Amino acid sequence: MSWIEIQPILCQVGILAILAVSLNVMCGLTGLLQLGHAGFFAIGAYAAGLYSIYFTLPELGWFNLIPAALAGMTAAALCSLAIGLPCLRLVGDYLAIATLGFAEIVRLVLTNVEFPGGRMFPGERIGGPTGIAFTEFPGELWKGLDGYSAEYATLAVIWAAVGLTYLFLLNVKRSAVGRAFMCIREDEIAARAMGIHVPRYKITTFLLSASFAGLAGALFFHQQLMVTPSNFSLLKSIEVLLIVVLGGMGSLSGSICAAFLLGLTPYLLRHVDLSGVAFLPVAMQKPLSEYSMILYALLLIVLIRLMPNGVLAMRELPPWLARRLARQPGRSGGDAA
Amino acid sequence: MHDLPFYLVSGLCIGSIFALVAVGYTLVYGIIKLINFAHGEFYMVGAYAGFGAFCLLPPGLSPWVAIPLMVLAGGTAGAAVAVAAERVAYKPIRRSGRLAALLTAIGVSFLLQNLFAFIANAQPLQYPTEPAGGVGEVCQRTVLIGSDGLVAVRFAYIGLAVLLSLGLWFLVMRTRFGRAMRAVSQDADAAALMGIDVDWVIRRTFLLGGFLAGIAGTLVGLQSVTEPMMGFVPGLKAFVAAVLGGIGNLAGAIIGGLALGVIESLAVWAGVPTGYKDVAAFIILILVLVIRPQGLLGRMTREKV
Repeated sequence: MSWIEIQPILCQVGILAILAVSLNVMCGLTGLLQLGHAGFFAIGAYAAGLYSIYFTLPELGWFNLIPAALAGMTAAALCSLAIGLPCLRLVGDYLAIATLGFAEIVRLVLTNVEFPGGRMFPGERIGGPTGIAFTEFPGELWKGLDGYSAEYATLAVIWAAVGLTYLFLLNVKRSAVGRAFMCIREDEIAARAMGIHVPRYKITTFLLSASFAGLAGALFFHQQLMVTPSNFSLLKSIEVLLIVVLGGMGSLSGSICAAFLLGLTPYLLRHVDLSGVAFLPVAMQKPLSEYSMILYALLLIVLIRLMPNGVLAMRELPPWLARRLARQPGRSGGDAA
Repeated sequence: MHDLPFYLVSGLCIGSIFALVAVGYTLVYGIIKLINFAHGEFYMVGAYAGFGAFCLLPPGLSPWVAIPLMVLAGGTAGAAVAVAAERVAYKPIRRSGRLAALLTAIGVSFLLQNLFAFIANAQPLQYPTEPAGGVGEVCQRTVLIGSDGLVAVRFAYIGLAVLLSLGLWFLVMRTRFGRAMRAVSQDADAAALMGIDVDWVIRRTFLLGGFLAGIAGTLVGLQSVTEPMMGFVPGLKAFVAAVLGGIGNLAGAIIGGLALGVIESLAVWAGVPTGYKDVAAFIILILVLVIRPQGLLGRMTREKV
């Protein structure tokens, strides 16, 4: 595989990593099962995309990304309040289903709604099933980054965002807030007895999780330069949840590792071909990528059966590395829940 | 635009399908507290089996013989897949917690969808409308309601739903198996101590749910298309219906299904754009969960420390 081939894949992995880390705060740390992450991802992508379509200033170059990302994060956070506040009472499967319903509503509305075209598409309507796209200067936006080619710049920005998200949320995990999250996960009633204001922390976890999903959406739009509602189906939520489970519920670095594993698998499978394998029936002699969804599903079933707590479980990276990253000298043993 | 009676009747028809699928959700949830995401796929497998039976039956056979046989084949296939899924995927993780079970169910759902997409090349199948008097043509015949034509086969949905729910009621309330089922759903451990084979009851419950879903799938396939993703949306909506009626409650699932079908249909009648029709179901879902999580007929259970 050449670099040109690998670069967009690494960008996708980075976006998946942000999604997984942010979902992990909600599912892994706070123990609130969520099946609607694609909804927040979609809102972030659309808010950031519409911001860029309406307000991009060419002279600012890639700095335009910062307000666009903020727009995405804010919109996702506001929507998380809209769904989080009414659903505070719900636990377990019921919350999962309510968030799933929310994500489906988001997707259906985005499929049907149309936006004015703004400066970039004067007099036109954008949105609907074909989504929104960014056509004025594809790639130009990225080239402002000190003369690097657009590909390098995209990759650098996305992975910088992964790093920032990871460090921020890792520090949240180790703060009093994170410990309150984990306390709620272990036993809500006990948490209440310990003086933890459960609704406030649940809203905090909703806000944190959704706003970083919004960031991932903003990056996704600016990497693809277009999004359609079909990018944000239930499949996406489940893909992210699978990464979280695979990396270990509650392990943020595990989520990033698992994002690599699952993000790269389909591309590696593409290079394996079963067409020469003589003992298989003719109908099955296809490149392995044709089987990728079947393998994916099997992987999900088998992994959960073998390792219900994920590969890394609650552990983080080796303590010395994690300690250096999180700037907490003098602590040993990472954080075992 | 059609008239109100048309929308009411067609809402009841589609609601009967939701009800048949929702019953399976509710039975399984009542017994092992699992939201069986793969239930919509049992419906899809049923539709494929019905189509398969159609291809195997002699072409000259009268539709009045062929269709019941196809429906039976669909139900059997749905039941077989449900039992197999329970045996292979759900049973080993029954003690691993709710999250593991939910994720496994999602995995089974994806596996079945993609397996069928792979085998059937994702081509939607439709019953041939030739020759006249054959299965495909008979299933496209319409009946006039007021001034509008409604596909006649849809009335079979209502009839079959009524028949099957009466049968189900008898099974659950009047037989040994039904009593065992109710006992397991109240307290599986106590039921096991009383000599009830809990595994057997769970297997039978999956069989029952899969059978009803398979029948529903075949019926829908008759006048619509059969394709690998066909179970996804009806599955979700049937789940909404089960929640609406109070999950775990048999009568609730049937009433919830009919209500959801009628509400959706009336939403279109009231002028909601068809693109937003599916939004209605999910808004109902969230409203019910927020306002009355135990559903219309459910009972509240308090969590004790």
